[in-house]
Amino acid sequence: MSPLERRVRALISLFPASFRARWEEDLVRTTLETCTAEQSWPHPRDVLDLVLSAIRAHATTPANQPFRVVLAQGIVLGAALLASVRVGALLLRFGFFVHWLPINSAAGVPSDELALYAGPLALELAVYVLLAVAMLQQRRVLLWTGAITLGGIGLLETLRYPGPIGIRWALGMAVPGAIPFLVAAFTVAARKTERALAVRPALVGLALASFATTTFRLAAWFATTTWHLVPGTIDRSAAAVAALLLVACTVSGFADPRWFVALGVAVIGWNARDFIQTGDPLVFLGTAFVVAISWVHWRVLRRQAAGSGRGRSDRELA
Amino acid sequence: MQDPTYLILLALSDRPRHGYGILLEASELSRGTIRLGPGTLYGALERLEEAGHVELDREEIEEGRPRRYYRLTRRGRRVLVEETERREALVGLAKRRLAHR
Repeated sequence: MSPLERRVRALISLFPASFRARWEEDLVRTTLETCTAEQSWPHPRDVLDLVLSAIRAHATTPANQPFRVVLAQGIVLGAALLASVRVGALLLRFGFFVHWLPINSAAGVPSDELALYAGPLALELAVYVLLAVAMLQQRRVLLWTGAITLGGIGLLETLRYPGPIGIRWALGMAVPGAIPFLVAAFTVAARKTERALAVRPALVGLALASFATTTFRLAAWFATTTWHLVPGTIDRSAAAVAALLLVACTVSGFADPRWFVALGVAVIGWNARDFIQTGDPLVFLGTAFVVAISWVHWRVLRRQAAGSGRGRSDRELA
Repeated sequence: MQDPTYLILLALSDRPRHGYGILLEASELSRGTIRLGPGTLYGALERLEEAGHVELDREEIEEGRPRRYYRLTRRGRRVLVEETERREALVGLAKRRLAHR
């Protein structure tokens, strides 16, 4: 396979699985024919066209599949979404650590204490990379190894907060520790249904989510310290905007139901820790809202699907 | 109907063509003003096939790879004729209005 064809195939892997099952070979061939022998990449215009068409196909392909399939895929995506947010948070903490390393060293913080902080961070990041590779390559053993390692790190974190006051905090810390298990268990479950989850585009999306949350955290921290805002103001405003977007998506019927299941799982997972640790009723209400919207969206799509008979994805993959 | 979809139907109106053939013909028909990308083409083909306007004509093996030819269905031809009449009426209306000025 030529480097050009490899790149074309990588681009086309962004399309939904049901679309590729029907059109992939033909699309690869036609795209290659638009290129001259000297080209190592398709024309930028065609690259953009492929990426936009893939997004469009994701938005318009009904995930008109059995309930358990959509649910399993949604949960994998949700757990992976949680993992990507976690990776974003870890990257940020690591970034801060590196930034303040010279200052801390100069202030006389012993190096083994610094290593004790940075070591687990680096390890956790590395294992998340491993987990992503395992998902991509569909290596089950690697997947479970990564999940168990990450779960172990999560467990160690809960042990860092001993005593009766720390129990709530420790329980909360167990939530991020459970995420990789969710990813692994449901990746395997989704594969067992014999309808492959489009792992690669999902991972690209999650990498973007990770980048976005890191940038958001950094911007929120910067804005809070610069303008002396009440901590949490930015988070609450962002949550309100996200809720509005969610309503807009539901009303316009845009988006794949799997992403709504995923969002529900991610929001529950992310807020569970906060709720357990702080008991903040706002967190609980926000979570309930997102879950309710996801459920409404899901019901509407189910009814539409029932009205139009068997979906394209089912027929094509049968 | 949007221009790319219209051009794809028009490109298939004389004979079955493969994907790249449709792209070339669409470019020629629009005198190079509209250039379809491969993603747009196959996105449209999927919708057109779903709607029963286009179907698979035949599959040939060329250079060790399958090559698919697509053709217009009877329903697709009817839709193309209707769309052409609609566009013609619109252009006629526009011409008359512009002539009055």
